Amino acid sequence: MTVTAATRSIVLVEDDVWSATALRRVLEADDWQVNHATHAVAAMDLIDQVTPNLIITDMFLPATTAMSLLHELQSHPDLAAIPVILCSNAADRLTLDQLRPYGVRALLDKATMTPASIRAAVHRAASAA
Amino acid sequence: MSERAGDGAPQDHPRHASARTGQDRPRDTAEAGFLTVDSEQPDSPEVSVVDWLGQTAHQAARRVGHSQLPVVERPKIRPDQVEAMVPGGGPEPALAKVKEAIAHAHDLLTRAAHDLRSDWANVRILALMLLESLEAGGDGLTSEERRELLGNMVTIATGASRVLDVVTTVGQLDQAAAEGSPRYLPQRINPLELCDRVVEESQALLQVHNRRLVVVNSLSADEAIMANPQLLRLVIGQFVDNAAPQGDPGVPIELSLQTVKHDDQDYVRIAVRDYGPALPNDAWHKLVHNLRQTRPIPTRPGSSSLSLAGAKRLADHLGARLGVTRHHDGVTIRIDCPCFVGDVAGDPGVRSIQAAHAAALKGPSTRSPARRSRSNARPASTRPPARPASVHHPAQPSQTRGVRS
Repeated sequence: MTVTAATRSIVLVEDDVWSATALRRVLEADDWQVNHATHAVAAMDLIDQVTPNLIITDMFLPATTAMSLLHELQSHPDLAAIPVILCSNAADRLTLDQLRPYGVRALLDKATMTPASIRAAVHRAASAA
Repeated sequence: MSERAGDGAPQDHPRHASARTGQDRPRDTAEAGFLTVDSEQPDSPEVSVVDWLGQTAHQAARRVGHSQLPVVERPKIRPDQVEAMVPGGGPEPALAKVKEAIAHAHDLLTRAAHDLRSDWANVRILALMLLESLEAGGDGLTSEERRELLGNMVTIATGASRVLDVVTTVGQLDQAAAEGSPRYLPQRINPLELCDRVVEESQALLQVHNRRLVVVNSLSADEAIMANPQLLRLVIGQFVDNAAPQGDPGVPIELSLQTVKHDDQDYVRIAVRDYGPALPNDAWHKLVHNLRQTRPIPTRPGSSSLSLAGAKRLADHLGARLGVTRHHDGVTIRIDCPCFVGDVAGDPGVRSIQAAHAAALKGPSTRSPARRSRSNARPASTRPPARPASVHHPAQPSQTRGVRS
């Protein structure tokens, strides 16, 4: 895990090294500071340290799923307001309506997302915060 | 006895009546040409498929207005006889085996599809990033970054090919089992040489995950395995693939080789230990259950479980034992293959394995060659004494005992 301080920071929770690499490149090119964690427990530590403007998480993570992380975030008033983008290969089996109560503001399907759609989703979610 | 349709009274089905009385029973042509096959068989008190078909035919005839069905001789056939008619069937319940094989193949294909979908999604987004950079006149990415992205795409495609290798091989094994034709014959293997090859093939993946693989060898040079090298290589490769993403960057993976005993016979154990997050209890129980049930085996929620599902299928065909150990800081997955010492030509244990291999082609649930060969495998007393593992340089020959990273 890498901790950096920045005005625009994202915590990226992704165990797939290739997805993480691609997302990091797109986001860093868009002037975001990306802090990466590979599982939910490390993500919570990272979120506590950097208090990011946005969280992007995969659904299926080692040892637990993103739902545990989302539950945990919602149980802390200072973290519940951080917008979350769920980026998953299983996005076609989920709806944003199901996930809104967990703080999820956008759903990205890994199979169909593009660099432009990633940037757009991030801008929308961050500006709605 | 005949049966009339449309009289409104409850019909005492003639077949049921004769079943009670043991008298000759009426027959119908609907099933006669299909299943009247063995008139020598005695009646069975069990309800048979023929009975069911007969009843259906009678009911169908009533619906279309036939007042009477012609009487033909129709012996009873027990369910196990019908099951034996299924290709590849036999004294064992063939239908259950076929159903299990279909369910298993479906699970494996579903997992493979998930993995491949993920790989393609990754290749796609990397390609889009390159395209975007090119369309912007090369802005955004340096040539070094573009080269790196292309390298990533090659590595992902290589991983996808390994997934396809497993699925294709399992498919070929199933086909060979259905046809009863030999494929992937066993031969003498030096386990350390085989593991060296797996390590070499996994280097790109290990590099990506910032992981090094440490080989700890406790075998002597003359300890060998009788197995098909292609299948065993795929199994070990799946172990490494499964372990590679686990743990923090820089933490090594251990690949160990040693002999172990099962029922007083020697086996070579090849184990891959990762230092990833501990398995939660529910995941552990699910893993153990699935290992016993030959179902896909997820080691982590993030894992598609294809690796171990494929390894389990391949291990079944190899006649080897698959095992798993949960640690507080990771998981060890292992395979135990029968151990042979020295020249195996003419060894009765080897002949037993080859014979068992042919028998195993009858189906996935056939007993394993390992189990059959155990009585013929060389007892521990004839092996050279084992020495503790030691460290050796990577450049040293594979036959040397030791630790390699």
